Amino acid sequence: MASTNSTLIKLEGVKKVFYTDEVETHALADVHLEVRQGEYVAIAGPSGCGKTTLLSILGLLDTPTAGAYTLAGEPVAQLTPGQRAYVRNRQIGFIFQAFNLIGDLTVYENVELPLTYRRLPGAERRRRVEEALERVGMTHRTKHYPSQLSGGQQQRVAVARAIGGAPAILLADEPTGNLDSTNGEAVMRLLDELHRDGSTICMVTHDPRYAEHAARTLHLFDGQIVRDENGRAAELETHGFAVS
Amino acid sequence: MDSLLADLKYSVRTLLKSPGYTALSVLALTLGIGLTTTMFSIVYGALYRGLPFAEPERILHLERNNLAQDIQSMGVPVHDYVDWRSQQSAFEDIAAFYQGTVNISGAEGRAERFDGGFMTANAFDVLGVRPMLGRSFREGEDRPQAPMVVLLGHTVWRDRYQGDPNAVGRTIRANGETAEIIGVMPEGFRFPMNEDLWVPMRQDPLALPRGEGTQLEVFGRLKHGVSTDQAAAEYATIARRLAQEYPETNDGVGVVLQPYTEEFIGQEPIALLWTMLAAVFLVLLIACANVANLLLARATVRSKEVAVRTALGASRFRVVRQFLSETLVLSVIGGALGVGLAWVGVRMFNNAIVSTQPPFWIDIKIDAVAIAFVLALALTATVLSGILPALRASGANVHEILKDESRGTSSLRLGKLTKGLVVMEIALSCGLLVGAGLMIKSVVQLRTIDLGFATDDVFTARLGLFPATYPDTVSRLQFFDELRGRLGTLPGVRGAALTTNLPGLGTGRWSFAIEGTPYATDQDYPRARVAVITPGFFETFGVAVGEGRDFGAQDIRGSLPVTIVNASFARKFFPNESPIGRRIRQGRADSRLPWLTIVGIAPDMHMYGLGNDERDQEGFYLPLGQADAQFISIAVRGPRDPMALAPIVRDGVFAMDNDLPLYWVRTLSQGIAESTWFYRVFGTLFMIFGFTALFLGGVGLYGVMAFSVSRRTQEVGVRMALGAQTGDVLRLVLRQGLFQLGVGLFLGLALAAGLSHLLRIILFQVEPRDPVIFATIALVLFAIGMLASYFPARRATRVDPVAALRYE
Repeated sequence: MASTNSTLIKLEGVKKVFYTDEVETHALADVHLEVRQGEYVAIAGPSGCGKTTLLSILGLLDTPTAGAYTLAGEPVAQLTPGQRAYVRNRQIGFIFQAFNLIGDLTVYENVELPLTYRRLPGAERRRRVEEALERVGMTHRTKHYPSQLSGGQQQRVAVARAIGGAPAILLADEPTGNLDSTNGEAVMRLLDELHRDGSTICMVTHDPRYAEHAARTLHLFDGQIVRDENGRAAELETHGFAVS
Repeated sequence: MDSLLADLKYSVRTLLKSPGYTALSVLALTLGIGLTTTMFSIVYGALYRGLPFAEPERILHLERNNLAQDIQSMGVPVHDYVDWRSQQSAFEDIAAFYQGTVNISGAEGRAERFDGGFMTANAFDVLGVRPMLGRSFREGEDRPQAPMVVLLGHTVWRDRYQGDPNAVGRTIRANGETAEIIGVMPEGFRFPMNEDLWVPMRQDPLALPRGEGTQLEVFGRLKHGVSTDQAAAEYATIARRLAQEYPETNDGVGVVLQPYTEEFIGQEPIALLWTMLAAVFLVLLIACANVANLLLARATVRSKEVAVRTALGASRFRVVRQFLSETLVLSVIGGALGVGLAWVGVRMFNNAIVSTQPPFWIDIKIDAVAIAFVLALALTATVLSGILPALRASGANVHEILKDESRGTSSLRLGKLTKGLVVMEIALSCGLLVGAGLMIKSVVQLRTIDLGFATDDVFTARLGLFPATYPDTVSRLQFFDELRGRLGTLPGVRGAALTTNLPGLGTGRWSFAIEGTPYATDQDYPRARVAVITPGFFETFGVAVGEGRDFGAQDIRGSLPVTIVNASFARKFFPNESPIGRRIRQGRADSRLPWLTIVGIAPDMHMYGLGNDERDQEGFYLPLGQADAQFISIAVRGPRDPMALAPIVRDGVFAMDNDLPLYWVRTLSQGIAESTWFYRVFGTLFMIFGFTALFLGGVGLYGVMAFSVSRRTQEVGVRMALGAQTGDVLRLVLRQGLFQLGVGLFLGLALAAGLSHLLRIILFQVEPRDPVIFATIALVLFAIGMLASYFPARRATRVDPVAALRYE
């Protein structure tokens, strides 16, 4: 188990409101959250509870309507899009449910892609890509295109892409959602290994079996963290849910 | 049949659901089909409708050539015509004519000048055309002493004689001779080119030395069963026989037979018309590529629909048919609107050329032939635009699509086919735009060229003196002297002169000899342009004789024969010395014409006329007092509105001779504009083609890039999630457009190089490979291409990664 010392992520009073056809939808309401370096956090909850929105805000893909977000000690809620892209590229690794590999790039090129945005020299990129692919056991498929791979293999490549840049945190959005149980388990084992090696992981899942892989599980309901299973309960301000 | 109707119905419904796509496709096809049909109607009307007579394909034109002397085309002296006619058997008969001025006067009104056809008596029998009133010429009426008779054209009969049937039999004056109107030709008949009326050609071959006299145009009607080649073989034999018999005049002379209409349009304009038609087909191709790309885009979007249809049992043929029926609906609408566009285009073209008096058989209109052409085009466009998208859509992997739509498509990027089509569009647009650019420069040159002499405020008109009234040089010179005197005293006039050839409108070339220079053969004699002028000519046009002196009152018959040469002449023939005082002689060194002493050097005044080819500007002037002329142009540099002089000059001439009509009454600048209509009309047409191509190419590239970006939204979202900055996304999209632009421009410039060579005859003082135009067009296209890529690229940078990823 990796050490969990300094705070990597800190959300304070984060709200997210969507406006559609003059209707306000509160996707997140006053979320307070701290994730320490090396933690493995699962975010669970029913559909529409705000899991993906929370993950998007954590990944700087979206901005909160209100509240403060500190990543690795730096406030990031008010960054410009360009600054957010910069931080995403260096600090965050994404693993998507639908893999989101780029169909016209080979396995190697897909893993290399975030490193090219970092303007790393070619030799350095090659070293990192090879390491990442070795880590997920996909070195034998570097020249294949995503369409030539099975779903499980595609997700392993997506994981390699996420870890190639040695990010501070891995954000996984239903990483097993498009996989059968065997491949799903394999991906989960891969995440476990990454966690054991020191990676900080936040994973959205609605499957309790996979949530159990994480040391800590946040339960979201109607945009609020209603339970934090490492024992630190979130406060319920409006809905009166019991906190266990 | 029912299923076909169902396909068409479904197509209409589908197209109505996508009004933007439908409008863009219909617009592209309307422009493509409309412009192509316009050009087709022009080509068909000019080259293929033919003479409006019975079996026009049997009517051939005959002329002479002398390949040994590199002369491709020569008129026919009356002696050759008479020999041909008596010795040939391939034609039912041959006839001859020349064109000229016929001045008509009589009790019915003021004297008028008309374009007249001077015909052999059998000409109308050869054509197979009868007068609508009266009779045509009788055998013998074309003898030199025969009484003058006139056949009126329908328009002259209608306008001058108010359509009075009793005009036939009336006595009038034609070119100063008493003449009888013997008939009226049917409406629309204006043979041989654009003639208003006809008189017999009264030439006696026995009265002239062989080879001399007016050069004739000859035509004949082939006998049934005789081919052009057989006739040509017979005429080659006759030509050889004549060469043996008359070696001085006929050595090396051959006979050329060709369809009548081709002779009067000329090989270069025919080649130009074909080039224009080919160019407009390229516009159609661009339009089809646009529609094909839009269809490909839709096919990608509709892959699920196709998969479901296939899963439900539709054969590939049915799916292809469904897609083609959609394209057919688009093409038919585009074709219908294209007919409207072509109607407007043809009308505009006819209006543009009406003042140029095109040959009478040229009848450019939208008729059944044009409609049939549009139908053929619509079907062609259907296949060109629709077949590839249809095959692509019907060939997709149904299982994969039904399982996962996004994976069934070959790629989220542009397919090779789409890329290829875009490259083709850019290349074709580039080729056409370079042509258009050359045309623009050409038209600008025409408008802005500094001719070096006055044109705007110079009133001009022409008149002709005929032997019946002015039988000799003295009488003609007397008339011209008096006329010039009257012109010079008109109020507000700053200069007045008479000349056989106005500057800028072209002058014939004659051979001449320089005293002291030996010439071994006739081919060694140099040639230069010759114009006869009165004193005051240069002053009237605002130029001055640079070295030496101008012609003056002293330059009359009996005094030292003199000439003024132009600067090109002096430069070319006297490169290292002053020509003043040197002598030249028209014709051969031993001709009977006098030696002319060069007394002055005048600036160049475009004696060649205005054209792209500025060679052969060398020329010299003769004083009218020492020469002679039957036809003369008046030039008066007058008041602010020079055309205000028209009635005054007309009255002045009328007062001198009430049988003498003035014609070609206009300012010199109008005359020059009329002489350069060819550049303007075809230049404008080509510009329209070029800009349409630019519009379609730009829209096509934008459409493809926009579609590509919309299909890549998710990919862009992923890239942004992975840290791509705005610049990275911009570069990603622009790079894709850039590659196609680069390849397209490369191919396009190569195409332009070939095309511009074919267009050279409609370029005015512009090099066909003008590097500035090539570079400018490449830059403009590059900029437009980048712009067409930039907007979709900018949209891509605004992709919300959350939305893009959620959309998956």
